[in-house]
Amino acid sequence: MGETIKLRNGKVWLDDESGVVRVWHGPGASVNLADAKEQIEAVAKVSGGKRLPLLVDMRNVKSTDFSAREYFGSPASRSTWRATALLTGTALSNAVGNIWFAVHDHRDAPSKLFSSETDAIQWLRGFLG
Amino acid sequence: MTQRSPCDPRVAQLINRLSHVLPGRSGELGAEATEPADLDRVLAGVDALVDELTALRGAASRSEKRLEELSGMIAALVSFDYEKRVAISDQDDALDGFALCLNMLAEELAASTVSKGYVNNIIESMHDLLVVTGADGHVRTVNQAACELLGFSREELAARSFGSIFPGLSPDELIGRGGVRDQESECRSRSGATFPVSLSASVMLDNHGVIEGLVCVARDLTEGKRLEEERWKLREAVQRQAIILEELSTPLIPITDEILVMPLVGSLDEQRARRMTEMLLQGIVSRRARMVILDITGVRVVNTEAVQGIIRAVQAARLIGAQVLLTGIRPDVARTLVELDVDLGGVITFGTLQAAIGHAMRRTARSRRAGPAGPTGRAGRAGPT
Repeated sequence: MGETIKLRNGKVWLDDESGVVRVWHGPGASVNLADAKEQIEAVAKVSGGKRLPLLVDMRNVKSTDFSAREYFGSPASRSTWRATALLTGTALSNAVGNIWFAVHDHRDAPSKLFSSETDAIQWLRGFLG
Repeated sequence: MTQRSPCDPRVAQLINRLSHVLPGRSGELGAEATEPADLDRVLAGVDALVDELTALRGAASRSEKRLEELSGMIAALVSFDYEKRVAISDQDDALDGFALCLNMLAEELAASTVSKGYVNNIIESMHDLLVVTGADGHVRTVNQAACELLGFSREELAARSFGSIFPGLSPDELIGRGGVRDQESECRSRSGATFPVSLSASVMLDNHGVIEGLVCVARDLTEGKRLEEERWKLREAVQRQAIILEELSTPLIPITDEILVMPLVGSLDEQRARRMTEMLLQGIVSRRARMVILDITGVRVVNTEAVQGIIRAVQAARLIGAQVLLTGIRPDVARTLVELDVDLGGVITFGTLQAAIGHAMRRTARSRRAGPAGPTGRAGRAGPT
Protein backbone atom coordinates (compact mmCIF):
# COMPACT_ATOMS: atom_id res chain seq x y z
CA MET A 1 0.00 0.00 0.00
CA GLY A 2 1.27 3.41 -0.96
CA GLU A 3 1.22 6.53 1.12
CA THR A 4 -1.87 6.88 3.31
CA ILE A 5 -3.11 10.34 4.06
CA LYS A 6 -5.32 10.72 7.11
CA LEU A 7 -8.26 13.06 6.81
CA ARG A 8 -10.48 14.66 9.39
CA ASN A 9 -13.06 11.92 8.93
CA GLY A 10 -11.32 9.22 6.89
CA LYS A 11 -8.26 8.40 4.86
CA VAL A 12 -6.97 8.27 1.29
CA TRP A 13 -4.39 5.91 -0.18
CA LEU A 14 -3.24 4.38 -3.44
CA ASP A 15 -4.03 0.67 -3.57
CA ASP A 16 -0.92 -0.82 -5.21
CA GLU A 17 -2.68 -4.10 -5.98
CA SER A 18 -5.57 -2.62 -7.95
CA GLY A 19 -3.87 0.62 -9.04
CA VAL A 20 -6.90 2.47 -7.78
CA VAL A 21 -6.98 5.42 -5.38
CA ARG A 22 -9.20 4.71 -2.40
CA VAL A 23 -11.12 6.95 -0.07
CA TRP A 24 -12.56 5.60 3.14
CA HIS A 25 -14.85 7.45 5.57
CA GLY A 26 -15.06 6.77 9.26
CA PRO A 27 -18.36 5.84 10.98
CA GLY A 28 -21.00 8.56 10.99
CA ALA A 29 -18.97 10.79 8.68
CA SER A 30 -20.58 14.10 7.68
CA VAL A 31 -18.68 15.65 4.81
CA ASN A 32 -18.51 19.42 4.44
CA LEU A 33 -16.71 21.66 1.95
CA ALA A 34 -13.49 21.72 3.92
CA ASP A 35 -13.55 17.91 4.07
CA ALA A 36 -14.18 17.76 0.33
CA LYS A 37 -11.21 19.98 -0.42
CA GLU A 38 -9.00 18.03 1.95
CA GLN A 39 -10.06 14.80 0.30
CA ILE A 40 -9.41 15.95 -3.26
CA GLU A 41 -6.08 17.42 -2.30
CA ALA A 42 -5.13 14.06 -0.80
CA VAL A 43 -6.33 12.22 -3.92
CA ALA A 44 -4.15 14.43 -6.10
CA LYS A 45 -1.17 13.84 -3.84
CA VAL A 46 -1.37 10.03 -3.70
CA SER A 47 -2.04 9.92 -7.46
CA GLY A 48 1.30 11.58 -8.04
CA GLY A 49 -0.11 14.00 -10.58
CA LYS A 50 -1.86 11.30 -12.64
CA ARG A 51 -5.62 10.96 -13.14
CA LEU A 52 -6.32 7.55 -11.67
CA PRO A 53 -9.58 5.72 -11.04
CA LEU A 54 -11.06 6.45 -7.62
CA LEU A 55 -13.03 4.21 -5.26
CA VAL A 56 -14.94 6.13 -2.61
CA ASP A 57 -16.27 3.99 0.21
CA MET A 58 -19.34 5.87 1.39
CA ARG A 59 -20.87 3.14 3.51
CA ASN A 60 -20.14 5.09 6.70
CA VAL A 61 -21.23 8.46 5.33
CA LYS A 62 -24.19 9.99 7.07
CA SER A 63 -24.41 13.18 5.00
CA THR A 64 -22.56 15.30 2.45
CA ASP A 65 -23.54 18.96 2.38
CA PHE A 66 -24.45 20.87 -0.75
CA SER A 67 -21.20 22.80 -1.14
CA ALA A 68 -19.19 19.60 -0.69
CA ARG A 69 -21.22 17.83 -3.40
CA GLU A 70 -20.74 20.82 -5.68
CA TYR A 71 -17.02 20.75 -5.07
CA PHE A 72 -16.74 17.02 -5.75
CA GLY A 73 -18.50 17.64 -9.07
CA SER A 74 -16.41 20.68 -10.00
CA PRO A 75 -13.75 20.74 -12.75
CA ALA A 76 -11.09 21.18 -10.07
CA SER A 77 -12.12 17.91 -8.47
CA ARG A 78 -12.68 16.03 -11.72
CA SER A 79 -9.18 16.91 -12.86
CA THR A 80 -7.78 14.68 -10.11
CA TRP A 81 -9.56 11.43 -10.97
CA ARG A 82 -10.35 9.50 -14.13
CA ALA A 83 -13.54 7.78 -13.00
CA THR A 84 -15.12 7.23 -9.62
CA ALA A 85 -16.95 4.27 -8.12
CA LEU A 86 -19.14 5.14 -5.14
CA LEU A 87 -19.45 2.21 -2.76
CA THR A 88 -22.71 2.45 -0.88
CA GLY A 89 -24.75 0.03 1.13
CA THR A 90 -26.75 1.93 3.69
CA ALA A 91 -29.87 3.96 3.15
CA LEU A 92 -28.07 7.21 3.80
CA SER A 93 -25.02 6.48 1.67
CA ASN A 94 -27.31 5.29 -1.12
CA ALA A 95 -29.20 8.57 -0.93
CA VAL A 96 -26.04 10.68 -1.09
CA GLY A 97 -24.57 8.59 -3.88
CA ASN A 98 -27.71 8.68 -5.99
CA ILE A 99 -28.23 12.40 -5.70
CA TRP A 100 -24.61 13.17 -6.43
CA PHE A 101 -24.64 10.85 -9.42
CA ALA A 102 -27.85 12.38 -10.78
CA VAL A 103 -26.48 15.91 -10.60
CA HIS A 104 -22.79 15.55 -11.25
CA ASP A 105 -22.11 12.52 -13.44
CA HIS A 106 -19.91 13.80 -16.24
CA ARG A 107 -18.81 12.34 -19.54
CA ASP A 108 -15.14 13.07 -19.05
CA ALA A 109 -15.16 11.75 -15.48
CA PRO A 110 -17.78 9.03 -15.25
CA SER A 111 -19.13 7.75 -11.96
CA LYS A 112 -21.14 4.71 -10.91
CA LEU A 113 -22.73 3.34 -7.76
CA PHE A 114 -21.84 -0.09 -6.39
CA SER A 115 -22.81 -2.16 -3.44
CA SER A 116 -19.97 -4.63 -4.05
CA GLU A 117 -16.35 -3.63 -3.62
CA THR A 118 -15.21 -6.35 -6.01
CA ASP A 119 -17.53 -5.16 -8.75
CA ALA A 120 -16.47 -1.57 -8.16
CA ILE A 121 -12.77 -2.34 -8.55
CA GLN A 122 -13.41 -4.44 -11.62
CA TRP A 123 -15.22 -1.53 -13.25
CA LEU A 124 -12.49 0.92 -12.28
CA ARG A 125 -9.73 -1.28 -13.72
CA GLY A 126 -11.22 -0.49 -17.10
CA PHE A 127 -9.99 3.07 -16.69
CA LEU A 128 -6.40 2.20 -15.94
CA GLY A 129 -3.73 2.79 -18.52
CA MET B 1 -42.80 -30.22 44.66
CA THR B 2 -44.96 -28.94 41.88
CA GLN B 3 -46.97 -31.55 40.20
CA ARG B 4 -46.83 -31.20 36.51
CA SER B 5 -49.96 -32.10 34.65
CA PRO B 6 -49.66 -34.53 31.80
CA CYS B 7 -48.59 -32.85 28.53
CA ASP B 8 -51.42 -31.86 26.22
CA PRO B 9 -50.42 -32.66 22.67
CA ARG B 10 -51.78 -29.26 21.64
CA VAL B 11 -48.98 -27.65 23.65
CA ALA B 12 -46.45 -29.09 21.25
CA GLN B 13 -48.45 -27.65 18.39
CA LEU B 14 -48.43 -24.23 20.05
CA ILE B 15 -44.66 -24.46 20.50
CA ASN B 16 -44.29 -25.39 16.88
CA ARG B 17 -46.38 -22.45 15.71
CA LEU B 18 -44.55 -20.04 17.97
CA SER B 19 -41.23 -21.26 16.57
CA HIS B 20 -42.40 -20.34 13.09
CA VAL B 21 -43.18 -16.74 13.99
CA LEU B 22 -40.19 -16.45 16.33
CA PRO B 23 -37.46 -18.24 14.39
CA GLY B 24 -34.76 -16.70 16.53
CA ARG B 25 -36.25 -18.25 19.61
CA SER B 26 -36.60 -21.84 18.36
CA GLY B 27 -33.89 -23.12 20.65
CA GLU B 28 -35.36 -21.33 23.61
CA LEU B 29 -38.76 -22.71 22.95
CA GLY B 30 -37.31 -26.18 22.68
CA ALA B 31 -39.10 -26.83 19.46
CA GLU B 32 -36.65 -29.55 18.58
CA ALA B 33 -36.41 -30.99 22.03
CA THR B 34 -37.44 -34.52 22.51
CA GLU B 35 -38.83 -33.96 25.98
CA PRO B 36 -42.46 -33.27 26.32
CA ALA B 37 -43.31 -29.55 25.99
CA ASP B 38 -44.79 -27.78 28.92
CA LEU B 39 -46.89 -24.71 29.46
CA ASP B 40 -43.96 -22.65 30.80
CA ARG B 41 -42.23 -22.76 27.50
CA VAL B 42 -45.43 -21.88 25.71
CA LEU B 43 -45.88 -18.92 28.00
CA ALA B 44 -42.31 -17.77 27.35
CA GLY B 45 -42.96 -18.00 23.66
CA VAL B 46 -46.16 -16.03 23.92
CA ASP B 47 -44.36 -13.34 25.94
CA ALA B 48 -41.69 -13.12 23.28
CA LEU B 49 -44.37 -12.80 20.66
CA VAL B 50 -46.11 -10.07 22.57
CA ASP B 51 -42.83 -8.17 22.94
CA GLU B 52 -42.16 -8.43 19.28
CA LEU B 53 -45.64 -7.32 18.31
CA THR B 54 -45.43 -4.39 20.69
CA ALA B 55 -42.11 -3.36 19.21
CA LEU B 56 -43.52 -3.70 15.71
CA ARG B 57 -46.52 -1.62 16.53
CA GLY B 58 -44.29 1.07 18.01
CA ALA B 59 -42.11 1.03 14.91
CA ALA B 60 -45.19 1.22 12.70
CA SER B 61 -46.43 4.23 14.63
CA ARG B 62 -43.07 5.94 14.39
CA SER B 63 -42.84 5.11 10.68
CA GLU B 64 -46.27 6.60 10.12
CA LYS B 65 -45.17 9.79 11.81
CA ARG B 66 -42.03 9.89 9.74
CA LEU B 67 -43.97 9.29 6.55
CA GLU B 68 -46.17 12.26 7.45
CA GLU B 69 -43.07 14.40 7.83
CA LEU B 70 -41.78 13.21 4.48
CA SER B 71 -45.14 14.01 2.86
CA GLY B 72 -44.90 17.47 4.35
CA MET B 73 -41.47 17.87 2.85
CA ILE B 74 -42.72 16.85 -0.59
CA ALA B 75 -45.58 19.34 -0.27
CA ALA B 76 -43.06 22.06 0.57
CA LEU B 77 -40.99 21.24 -2.51
CA VAL B 78 -44.09 21.33 -4.69
CA SER B 79 -44.91 24.79 -3.35
CA PHE B 80 -41.37 25.98 -4.04
CA ASP B 81 -40.39 26.11 -0.38
CA TYR B 82 -36.79 25.02 -0.55
CA GLU B 83 -35.93 26.01 2.99
CA LYS B 84 -37.71 23.16 4.75
CA ARG B 85 -35.77 20.08 5.88
CA VAL B 86 -36.78 16.80 7.52
CA ALA B 87 -34.97 15.23 10.43
CA ILE B 88 -32.83 12.16 9.88
CA SER B 89 -32.61 9.60 12.67
CA ASP B 90 -29.72 7.37 13.66
CA GLN B 91 -31.44 4.28 12.38
CA ASP B 92 -30.10 4.73 8.84
CA ASP B 93 -33.11 2.92 7.49
CA ALA B 94 -35.00 3.35 4.21
CA LEU B 95 -37.01 6.27 5.56
CA ASP B 96 -33.83 8.04 6.61
CA GLY B 97 -32.44 7.49 3.14
CA PHE B 98 -35.59 8.94 1.64
CA ALA B 99 -35.49 11.90 4.01
CA LEU B 100 -31.88 12.62 3.09
CA CYS B 101 -32.76 12.43 -0.60
CA LEU B 102 -35.52 14.99 -0.13
CA ASN B 103 -33.24 17.32 1.81
CA MET B 104 -30.60 17.13 -0.88
CA LEU B 105 -33.23 17.62 -3.57
CA ALA B 106 -34.32 20.83 -1.83
CA GLU B 107 -30.73 22.05 -1.85
CA GLU B 108 -30.31 21.28 -5.55
CA LEU B 109 -33.60 22.94 -6.46
CA ALA B 110 -32.81 26.00 -4.39
CA ALA B 111 -29.52 26.35 -6.20
CA SER B 112 -30.86 25.82 -9.69
CA THR B 113 -34.41 27.13 -9.65
CA VAL B 114 -35.80 30.61 -9.36
CA SER B 115 -38.51 30.31 -6.79
CA LYS B 116 -42.08 31.28 -7.50
CA GLY B 117 -41.99 33.67 -4.58
CA TYR B 118 -39.01 35.43 -6.04
CA VAL B 119 -40.68 35.79 -9.43
CA ASN B 120 -43.87 37.04 -7.81
CA ASN B 121 -41.87 39.58 -5.89
CA ILE B 122 -40.37 40.90 -9.10
CA ILE B 123 -43.77 41.25 -10.74
CA GLU B 124 -45.36 42.95 -7.75
CA SER B 125 -42.46 45.36 -7.37
CA MET B 126 -42.86 46.73 -10.89
CA HIS B 127 -44.01 50.31 -11.20
CA ASP B 128 -45.39 49.61 -14.65
CA LEU B 129 -48.72 47.95 -15.27
CA LEU B 130 -48.58 44.25 -16.18
CA VAL B 131 -51.48 42.44 -17.80
CA VAL B 132 -51.14 38.89 -19.08
CA THR B 133 -53.90 37.46 -21.23
CA GLY B 134 -54.53 33.94 -22.36
CA ALA B 135 -54.70 32.93 -25.99
CA ASP B 136 -58.44 33.61 -25.77
CA GLY B 137 -57.84 37.24 -24.89
CA HIS B 138 -59.11 36.97 -21.32
CA VAL B 139 -57.07 38.53 -18.56
CA ARG B 140 -55.21 35.91 -16.55
CA THR B 141 -52.64 37.76 -14.50
CA VAL B 142 -52.23 41.34 -13.36
CA ASN B 143 -49.83 42.96 -10.96
CA GLN B 144 -50.36 45.39 -8.10
CA ALA B 145 -49.42 48.37 -10.26
CA ALA B 146 -52.22 47.45 -12.68
CA CYS B 147 -54.73 47.35 -9.84
CA GLU B 148 -53.60 50.73 -8.52
CA LEU B 149 -53.45 52.50 -11.88
CA LEU B 150 -56.76 51.15 -13.09
CA GLY B 151 -58.59 51.27 -9.78
CA PHE B 152 -59.75 47.63 -9.81
CA SER B 153 -59.10 44.65 -7.59
CA ARG B 154 -57.37 41.63 -9.07
CA GLU B 155 -60.60 39.69 -9.18
CA GLU B 156 -62.37 42.52 -10.97
CA LEU B 157 -59.60 42.84 -13.52
CA ALA B 158 -59.61 39.08 -14.16
CA ALA B 159 -63.26 39.38 -15.16
CA ARG B 160 -62.62 42.21 -17.61
CA SER B 161 -61.82 41.97 -21.29
CA PHE B 162 -58.60 43.18 -22.82
CA GLY B 163 -60.43 45.81 -24.84
CA SER B 164 -61.99 47.33 -21.75
CA ILE B 165 -58.52 47.94 -20.31
CA PHE B 166 -56.84 48.96 -23.57
CA PRO B 167 -59.61 50.57 -25.63
CA GLY B 168 -59.16 50.28 -29.36
CA LEU B 169 -56.75 47.37 -29.12
CA SER B 170 -57.37 43.69 -29.68
CA PRO B 171 -55.15 40.88 -28.40
CA ASP B 172 -55.59 38.98 -31.68
CA GLU B 173 -54.29 41.92 -33.62
CA LEU B 174 -51.32 42.37 -31.30
CA ILE B 175 -50.53 38.66 -31.49
CA GLY B 176 -50.86 38.82 -35.26
CA ARG B 177 -48.30 41.60 -35.34
CA GLY B 178 -45.94 39.58 -33.18
CA GLY B 179 -46.29 42.08 -30.38
CA VAL B 180 -45.45 45.76 -30.20
CA ARG B 181 -42.84 47.89 -28.51
CA ASP B 182 -43.32 51.34 -26.96
CA GLN B 183 -46.56 52.01 -28.76
CA GLU B 184 -48.46 55.04 -27.51
CA SER B 185 -51.84 53.79 -26.42
CA GLU B 186 -54.49 54.42 -23.81
CA CYS B 187 -55.72 52.68 -20.70
CA ARG B 188 -59.21 53.04 -19.27
CA SER B 189 -59.56 53.18 -15.52
CA ARG B 190 -62.48 52.32 -13.32
CA SER B 191 -63.86 55.86 -13.57
CA GLY B 192 -64.03 55.52 -17.34
CA ALA B 193 -61.30 58.10 -17.84
CA THR B 194 -58.44 57.20 -20.11
CA PHE B 195 -54.80 57.99 -19.63
CA PRO B 196 -51.87 57.74 -22.05
CA VAL B 197 -49.47 54.80 -21.79
CA SER B 198 -46.47 53.45 -23.61
CA LEU B 199 -47.39 49.85 -24.35
CA SER B 200 -45.07 46.94 -25.02
CA ALA B 201 -46.71 43.60 -25.72
CA SER B 202 -44.94 40.28 -26.26
CA VAL B 203 -46.39 37.04 -27.52
CA MET B 204 -45.99 34.24 -24.97
CA LEU B 205 -45.27 30.74 -26.30
CA ASP B 206 -45.24 27.47 -24.41
CA ASN B 207 -42.51 24.81 -24.62
CA HIS B 208 -44.01 23.48 -27.84
CA GLY B 209 -44.12 26.87 -29.52
CA VAL B 210 -47.88 27.18 -29.18
CA ILE B 211 -49.24 30.66 -28.45
CA GLU B 212 -50.12 30.84 -24.81
CA GLY B 213 -51.09 34.48 -24.56
CA LEU B 214 -49.89 38.04 -24.50
CA VAL B 215 -47.70 39.78 -21.93
CA CYS B 216 -48.45 43.50 -21.83
CA VAL B 217 -46.41 46.05 -19.94
CA ALA B 218 -47.69 49.62 -19.97
CA ARG B 219 -45.99 52.71 -18.58
CA ASP B 220 -48.20 55.58 -17.49
CA LEU B 221 -47.27 58.61 -19.58
CA THR B 222 -49.54 61.10 -17.78
CA GLU B 223 -46.78 62.72 -15.83
CA GLY B 224 -44.42 62.53 -18.77
CA LYS B 225 -46.93 64.23 -21.03
CA ARG B 226 -47.57 66.92 -18.48
CA LEU B 227 -43.86 67.60 -18.16
CA GLU B 228 -43.47 67.61 -21.92
CA GLU B 229 -46.25 70.18 -22.22
CA GLU B 230 -44.65 72.33 -19.58
CA ARG B 231 -41.31 72.07 -21.34
CA TRP B 232 -43.00 73.06 -24.59
CA LYS B 233 -44.60 76.08 -22.96
CA LEU B 234 -41.29 77.01 -21.44
CA ARG B 235 -39.55 76.70 -24.81
CA GLU B 236 -42.19 78.90 -26.38
CA ALA B 237 -41.80 81.47 -23.63
CA VAL B 238 -38.05 81.40 -24.02
CA GLN B 239 -38.40 81.84 -27.77
CA ARG B 240 -40.77 84.73 -27.31
CA GLN B 241 -38.41 86.30 -24.87
CA ALA B 242 -35.53 85.73 -27.25
CA ILE B 243 -37.45 87.56 -29.95
CA ILE B 244 -38.24 90.38 -27.58
CA LEU B 245 -34.65 90.48 -26.48
CA GLU B 246 -33.54 90.54 -30.04
CA GLU B 247 -35.87 93.37 -30.81
CA LEU B 248 -34.71 95.24 -27.75
CA SER B 249 -31.11 94.62 -28.66
CA THR B 250 -31.59 96.34 -32.00
CA PRO B 251 -33.68 99.36 -31.14
CA LEU B 252 -34.35 102.02 -33.71
CA ILE B 253 -34.73 105.44 -32.14
CA PRO B 254 -36.19 108.26 -34.23
CA ILE B 255 -34.46 111.57 -33.56
CA THR B 256 -36.46 113.49 -36.13
CA ASP B 257 -38.81 112.48 -38.92
CA GLU B 258 -35.83 111.88 -41.11
CA ILE B 259 -33.13 110.77 -38.74
CA LEU B 260 -32.94 107.40 -37.00
CA VAL B 261 -30.38 106.18 -34.50
CA MET B 262 -29.61 102.49 -33.98
CA PRO B 263 -27.34 101.92 -30.98
CA LEU B 264 -25.79 98.49 -31.10
CA VAL B 265 -24.86 96.72 -27.85
CA GLY B 266 -23.15 93.41 -27.36
CA SER B 267 -21.71 91.04 -29.90
CA LEU B 268 -22.67 91.19 -33.54
CA ASP B 269 -22.86 87.74 -35.05
CA GLU B 270 -24.33 86.81 -38.41
CA GLN B 271 -27.84 86.26 -37.07
CA ARG B 272 -27.89 89.50 -35.16
CA ALA B 273 -26.43 91.42 -38.09
CA ARG B 274 -29.21 90.07 -40.28
CA ARG B 275 -31.76 91.09 -37.73
CA MET B 276 -30.17 94.52 -37.45
CA THR B 277 -30.27 95.05 -41.21
CA GLU B 278 -33.90 93.95 -41.32
CA MET B 279 -34.90 96.34 -38.53
CA LEU B 280 -32.92 99.13 -40.14
CA LEU B 281 -34.54 98.74 -43.53
CA GLN B 282 -38.02 98.40 -42.08
CA GLY B 283 -37.45 101.51 -40.02
CA ILE B 284 -36.12 103.53 -42.94
CA VAL B 285 -39.04 102.60 -45.15
CA SER B 286 -41.75 103.01 -42.54
CA ARG B 287 -40.46 106.35 -41.30
CA ARG B 288 -39.12 107.53 -44.64
CA ALA B 289 -35.86 108.31 -42.95
CA ARG B 290 -33.07 109.93 -44.92
CA MET B 291 -30.28 109.39 -42.43
CA VAL B 292 -29.43 106.58 -40.09
CA ILE B 293 -26.81 106.77 -37.41
CA LEU B 294 -25.29 103.43 -36.47
CA ASP B 295 -23.65 103.70 -33.06
CA ILE B 296 -21.26 100.85 -32.35
CA THR B 297 -19.99 102.11 -29.03
CA GLY B 298 -21.53 99.12 -27.28
CA VAL B 299 -20.27 96.45 -29.68
CA ARG B 300 -17.84 94.42 -27.58
CA VAL B 301 -15.95 92.61 -30.27
CA VAL B 302 -15.42 94.13 -33.69
CA ASN B 303 -14.22 91.25 -35.78
CA THR B 304 -14.56 90.37 -39.43
CA GLU B 305 -18.06 89.04 -38.92
CA ALA B 306 -19.23 92.22 -37.17
CA VAL B 307 -17.64 94.48 -39.76
CA GLN B 308 -19.19 92.57 -42.62
CA GLY B 309 -22.55 92.83 -40.90
CA ILE B 310 -22.20 96.57 -40.59
CA ILE B 311 -21.08 97.00 -44.19
CA ARG B 312 -24.02 94.94 -45.45
CA ALA B 313 -26.42 97.06 -43.39
CA VAL B 314 -24.89 100.23 -44.77
CA GLN B 315 -25.08 99.00 -48.36
CA ALA B 316 -28.68 97.89 -47.91
CA ALA B 317 -29.68 101.22 -46.41
CA ARG B 318 -28.05 103.10 -49.26
CA LEU B 319 -29.92 101.03 -51.80
CA ILE B 320 -33.20 102.30 -50.43
CA GLY B 321 -32.06 105.84 -50.37
CA ALA B 322 -30.82 106.48 -46.85
CA GLN B 323 -27.41 107.66 -45.78
CA VAL B 324 -25.63 105.87 -42.97
CA LEU B 325 -23.37 107.55 -40.45
CA LEU B 326 -21.16 105.47 -38.20
CA THR B 327 -20.31 106.52 -34.68
CA GLY B 328 -18.73 105.06 -31.57
CA ILE B 329 -15.56 103.76 -33.18
CA ARG B 330 -13.27 103.23 -30.24
CA PRO B 331 -9.47 103.32 -30.65
CA ASP B 332 -9.23 99.55 -30.45
CA VAL B 333 -12.00 99.27 -33.01
CA ALA B 334 -10.18 101.67 -35.29
CA ARG B 335 -7.04 99.52 -34.96
CA THR B 336 -8.99 96.43 -35.79
CA LEU B 337 -10.56 98.02 -38.83
CA VAL B 338 -7.14 99.05 -40.10
CA GLU B 339 -5.72 95.58 -39.45
CA LEU B 340 -8.60 94.00 -41.29
CA ASP B 341 -8.01 96.47 -44.09
CA VAL B 342 -11.66 97.30 -44.12
CA ASP B 343 -13.02 99.68 -46.72
CA LEU B 344 -16.06 101.30 -45.19
CA GLY B 345 -17.05 102.45 -48.67
CA GLY B 346 -17.22 106.13 -47.98
CA VAL B 347 -19.30 105.83 -44.85
CA ILE B 348 -18.91 109.00 -42.79
CA THR B 349 -17.68 108.26 -39.32
CA PHE B 350 -17.88 110.33 -36.19
CA GLY B 351 -16.23 110.02 -32.85
CA THR B 352 -19.39 110.60 -30.86
CA LEU B 353 -23.10 110.16 -31.31
CA GLN B 354 -23.60 113.82 -30.55
CA ALA B 355 -21.43 114.86 -33.45
CA ALA B 356 -23.18 112.47 -35.77
CA ILE B 357 -26.63 113.73 -34.76
CA GLY B 358 -25.50 117.31 -35.25
CA HIS B 359 -24.18 116.54 -38.72
CA ALA B 360 -27.30 114.65 -39.64
CA MET B 361 -29.56 117.47 -38.58
CA ARG B 362 -27.59 120.06 -40.51
CA ARG B 363 -27.63 117.95 -43.63
CA THR B 364 -31.32 117.27 -43.50
CA ALA B 365 -32.04 120.95 -42.87
CA ARG B 366 -29.88 121.92 -45.84
CA SER B 367 -31.69 119.43 -47.99
CA ARG B 368 -35.03 120.85 -47.04
CA ARG B 369 -33.89 124.32 -47.95
CA ALA B 370 -32.31 123.10 -51.20
CA GLY B 371 -35.38 122.27 -53.13
CA PRO B 372 -37.36 119.61 -54.97
CA ALA B 373 -38.24 116.16 -53.66
CA GLY B 374 -35.57 113.54 -53.78
CA PRO B 375 -36.12 109.87 -54.10
CA THR B 376 -38.09 109.83 -50.88
CA GLY B 377 -40.69 112.06 -52.41
CA ARG B 378 -40.41 114.77 -49.82
CA ALA B 379 -40.28 118.32 -50.95
CA GLY B 380 -37.03 120.24 -50.58
CA ARG B 381 -34.77 117.30 -50.13
CA ALA B 382 -31.80 116.21 -52.08
CA GLY B 383 -31.04 112.60 -52.86
CA PRO B 384 -28.59 110.57 -50.75
CA THR B 385 -25.03 111.87 -50.56
